[in-house]
Amino acid sequence: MFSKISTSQSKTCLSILFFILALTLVRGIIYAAVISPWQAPDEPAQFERAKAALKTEDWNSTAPTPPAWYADLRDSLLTHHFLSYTLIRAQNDPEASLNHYIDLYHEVYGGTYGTRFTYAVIGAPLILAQYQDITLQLYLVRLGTVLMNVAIIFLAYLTVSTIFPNSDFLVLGVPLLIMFNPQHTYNLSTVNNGNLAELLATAALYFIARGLKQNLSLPNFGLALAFAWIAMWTKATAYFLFFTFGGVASFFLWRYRRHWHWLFLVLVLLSGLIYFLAPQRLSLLFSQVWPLLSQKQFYFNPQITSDIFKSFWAMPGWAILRLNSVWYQAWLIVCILSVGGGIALLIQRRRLLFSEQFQPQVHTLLVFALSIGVAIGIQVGWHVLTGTTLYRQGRSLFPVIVPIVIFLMLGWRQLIPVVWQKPGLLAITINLFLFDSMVLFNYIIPFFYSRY
Amino acid sequence: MPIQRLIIILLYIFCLVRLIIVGASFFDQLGCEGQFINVNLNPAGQQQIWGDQVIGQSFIAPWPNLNRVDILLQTYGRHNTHYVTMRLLEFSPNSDHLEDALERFKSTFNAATVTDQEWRTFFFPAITNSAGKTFVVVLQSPESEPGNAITVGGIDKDVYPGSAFLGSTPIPADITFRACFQMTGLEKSHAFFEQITHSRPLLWGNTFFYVLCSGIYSLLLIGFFWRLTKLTW
Repeated sequence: MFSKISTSQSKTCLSILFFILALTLVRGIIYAAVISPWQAPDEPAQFERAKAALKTEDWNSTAPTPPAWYADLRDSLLTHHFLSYTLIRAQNDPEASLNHYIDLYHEVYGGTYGTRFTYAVIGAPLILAQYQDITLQLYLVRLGTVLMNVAIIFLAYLTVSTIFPNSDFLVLGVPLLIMFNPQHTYNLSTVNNGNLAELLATAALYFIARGLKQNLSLPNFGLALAFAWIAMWTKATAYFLFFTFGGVASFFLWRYRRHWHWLFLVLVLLSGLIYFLAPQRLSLLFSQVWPLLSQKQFYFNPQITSDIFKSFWAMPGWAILRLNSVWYQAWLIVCILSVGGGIALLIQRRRLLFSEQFQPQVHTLLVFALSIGVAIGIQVGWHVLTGTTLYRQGRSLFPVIVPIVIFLMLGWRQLIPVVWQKPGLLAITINLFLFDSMVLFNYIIPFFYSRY
Repeated sequence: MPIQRLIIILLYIFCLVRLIIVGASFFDQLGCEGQFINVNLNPAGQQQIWGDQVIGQSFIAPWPNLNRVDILLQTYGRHNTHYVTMRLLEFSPNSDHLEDALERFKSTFNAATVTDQEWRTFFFPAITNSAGKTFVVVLQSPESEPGNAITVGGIDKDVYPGSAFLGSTPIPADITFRACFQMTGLEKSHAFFEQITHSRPLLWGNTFFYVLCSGIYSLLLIGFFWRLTKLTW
């Protein structure tokens, strides 16, 4: 009888998963359609790279004149009143070149930003419509991003099922919280290489969780390493994975500490591999950090952390449309409650931290916590060292969204009595759905559709 | 447990009520014309509305029956006590000077009733022939003084095909506002779908696509919540 109940509940969970994935797809299609063309951070420049990646001449900008489609892209920006919804200070000029409106990445970063292969993956849908209207091309690439989101949600489900297989609250709650996060849906319905980086980083974290559960399984870590390497070559927001693997390596070091001479050899080999295979931009950033540290001049503007937090949940457009502050305050309160719940969990279950049975879970959570800390630290730390306020967007934390949401849900679960956890999950889901609906219908749509 | 089922029923009632509120607010904003961006989160002292300092915003009404204006007001995070006057002026066809504009509506309110960074709504009798005409919303508060005055939200860039005014001088900025019109539900829906399909390719330029997506989304939501409730029930 108990196994029948368990099978029935598993079937219900799987059917709910089906609905979650279907909802993710349809929500993504709706957001991609409703969001005015080019109205996501850097979307025109990201699209330019994705389209240019399909042709060597365009990617390397070796032709004496810009490609003909640059004019189409510029015209599309004007048709859809691109400048009316951003803070970019340029005048509408139908004769101006494309870089009058947007910063072109190959001009700004000199080839160190992203790779042609990853942009070609993002721009793959364009193969179907290379010579079509450029706005249509944008929509096709957006649809590709929507599919990435479906994969991310599925990976989130798999990751939590691996770590907490017996908790419906977590197994369903984590994908639901990601799905109904309006900012996440917004970004994963528009064009940005950060979306592919997020997918790859999420896959890496999943295989790390599997590897830790399966007693430090090398094939899983191998796959995780492959995904992480491509993720880091895709975008700098995945650079935290470098430290994530450092955390994983520490478990190997401890387990095989008696064979330290072999470990030393492996370490030397790995260092060499990292030196030759690391993204150029990562190397550049490392070389810039030490002189900045030596200057001993540090900055801190609380607006940075405030904007990172707010734009993690909802700051649509080019991070320009803010909700009424009461909503951000509400999120702050529930997040603080979650932290409280997490602390209570640590105190109550402290003996289990060293129990052999729970070591895989504990190790995974430690690695995830490290990932979150590094991802936040990179953004805030860069501001502290340089004073720049340019990088203060919550979307840069989306590659660690699965770990973040796992910890949030763990904290909330701790505050809910066991018999109330399923109704609690329903209550959380309903409120998330209402929040998302409010952002879409009371903010995003009125924002883009109030000009005649 | 019966108490859990009661809680679930109450949750769904709460959900329905909130959805109705979201829907009503959405419907309320349909067909409105304006500028929603507010980057003026920490307004400067010079932007206070006091004495002779007047702040305004012009707009061209796209529809007839203009009957409402909303403005995002800011209080500097303090309690302000003086009266503020909002005037709706109509530019004459031959002049774009504020002094020559015709006053169509006037309302006075106390700054103490203003909530920081909240919309304030001004209803007035519908101006039936408003379509195509240029109006200006003007705010002034002669009794206010620096340290006891409010201001508006806005953006220091010309994003909207109208202009902000400081005194009688147009400036390259726009305040956060919206102008709304007396329209039937059908007219509002028509206006919205006209906008959302404008210059969009293939199915994105077809109203049916959005209706179909909404229908599929609604059905999936019903199925999803049914399943989730079954897990909980």
